[in-house]
Amino acid sequence: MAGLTLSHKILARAAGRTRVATGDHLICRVDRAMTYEPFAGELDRRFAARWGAETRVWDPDRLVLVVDHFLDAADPASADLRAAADRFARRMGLVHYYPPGAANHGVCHALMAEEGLVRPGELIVGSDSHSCTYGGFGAIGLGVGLEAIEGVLAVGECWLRVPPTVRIEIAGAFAPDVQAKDVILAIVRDLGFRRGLLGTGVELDGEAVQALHPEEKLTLANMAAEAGARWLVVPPNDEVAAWVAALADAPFEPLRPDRDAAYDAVYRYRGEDFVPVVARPHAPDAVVAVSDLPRTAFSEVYVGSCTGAKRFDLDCLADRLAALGGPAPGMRLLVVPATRKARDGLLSDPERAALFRRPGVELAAEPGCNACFGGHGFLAEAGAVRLSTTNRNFRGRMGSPEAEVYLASPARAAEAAARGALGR
Amino acid sequence: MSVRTIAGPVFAIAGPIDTDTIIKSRHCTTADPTALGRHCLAELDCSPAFVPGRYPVILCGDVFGIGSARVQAPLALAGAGVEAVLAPAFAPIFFETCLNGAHLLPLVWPRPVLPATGTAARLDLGSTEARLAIAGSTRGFTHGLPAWAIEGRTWMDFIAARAAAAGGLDRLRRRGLAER
Repeated sequence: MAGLTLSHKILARAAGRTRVATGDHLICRVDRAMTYEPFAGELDRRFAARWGAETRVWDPDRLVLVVDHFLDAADPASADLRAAADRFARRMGLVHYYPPGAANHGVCHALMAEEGLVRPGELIVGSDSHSCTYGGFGAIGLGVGLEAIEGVLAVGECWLRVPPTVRIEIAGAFAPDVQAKDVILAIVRDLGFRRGLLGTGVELDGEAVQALHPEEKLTLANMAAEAGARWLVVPPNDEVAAWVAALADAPFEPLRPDRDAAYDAVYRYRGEDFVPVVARPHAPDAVVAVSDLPRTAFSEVYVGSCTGAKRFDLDCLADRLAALGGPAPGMRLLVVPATRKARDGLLSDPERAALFRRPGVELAAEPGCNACFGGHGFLAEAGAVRLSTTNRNFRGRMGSPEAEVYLASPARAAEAAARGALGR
Repeated sequence: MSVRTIAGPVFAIAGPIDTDTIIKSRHCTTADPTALGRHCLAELDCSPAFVPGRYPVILCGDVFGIGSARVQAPLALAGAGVEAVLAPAFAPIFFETCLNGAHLLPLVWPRPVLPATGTAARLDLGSTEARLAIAGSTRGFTHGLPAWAIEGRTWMDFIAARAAAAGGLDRLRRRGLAER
């Protein structure tokens, strides 16, 4: 009998079985659930209506509630969402409630990873399509709808149909200039949606992948959503296990796929196949090599989101920007750290802090989703040509439909900010 | 043995169909299925055009429900009287939302053959198998949907029924939903 994929091992454990197979319907016990303020009020109402005002969620220690999407303090509707989240957290006695002002707060997925709430081998559901991010630390991150989260709040379980599992293996090594964002954008271009990954559970492994920094692996997993995959998990190596052990307050079991695991499909790359890329407007799969891009001048560079403003991303931005002499004259560099810890890290070094006080640089006061999904903050104006480290560039998502948004890595963001342009 | 039967004229489309084609975002200011259903597939470029209320079954030749995880898309289809969509593949969150809310049945149909729109069809759903009778031929396939979905219940209805059977939510939490 063939060995088990990592996805099948995680699901078998969660479902209390020894084996699972593609197409099986499972009822799984989740290790953790994440939701946020856009849904907190509605979930609170539904839960109280069905189970009574005195009933608590299945396990208040395992529900993570984050306030990250609507942080415009001047907007009454945003204030209402925040107030509803406060009430829900209080009523349920949630241990892991992260509103602005908490010791750490910011974009839910980056925050979960920083707070040690993503551990190898776990099954974690989230009411957000980028919950797949948790795969960077060897967990299955499952984005689900409101009804599925409602069910988890009641019993701590969800159902799923085991999707086809796909292995993507990248041997060799990446060139020093290639970052996780370049890798996942190329995979989205090559295999996204109808080209192979729609609805699949992906395992991304290989020498080149395993050499990446743990937070870079979060970036890889984050954009499984743009590939149409159900999840993407990077088998945890010793570095990731040690990274998480330093953050988590409980033990975990880092599972890995069996050597003879049977996958529904396998795709092989070499690290040397990858080059720095950008996604052109207005689709994440409109990916071209920077070396093939006609010279494109940018009016602004946005560094933000769970994809592109974690501690690693901001360190990279600061180092590259300093090496290149800082932002070009007239450039707007808009920086929204994913979390408070990432922001504090950036400002704790006086030299770096000075770089982000230069004219043209705007550092958001509050970490959060900001303009990534077009909510508020540094929205793109009509006519703006923006390079962004976020994950989606659909027309009008980050602001005006007349803005052009390119997606790229933090390293390319630094280069674009310093030179004002990318391409030939 | 058939648990549920859906019969009527089919609407056949080549696909792929994304959620923006199912319902444009400008109509998504409501969660009322009837109101959403009036605009369902309204701007789809095909002949004959989709008519709300006429087709209980959609046959799609390509992937269905891709694009934004728009919660109104299954509501719009349900509001337009669609009870089942057969397609070779579905976007996962669309697929699960259809089932969790008991809006309609998304059935994975491995080898689609598209008849003309308006052809009468009869879809018999058993606990694991489905049979589609159309244009004089009958084809069976494994649908793989959970029993509660075939029975037309929502995921929360299923949990509530299990809680009642277990003697309360606390007992169900200890025991678990699965029949282990």
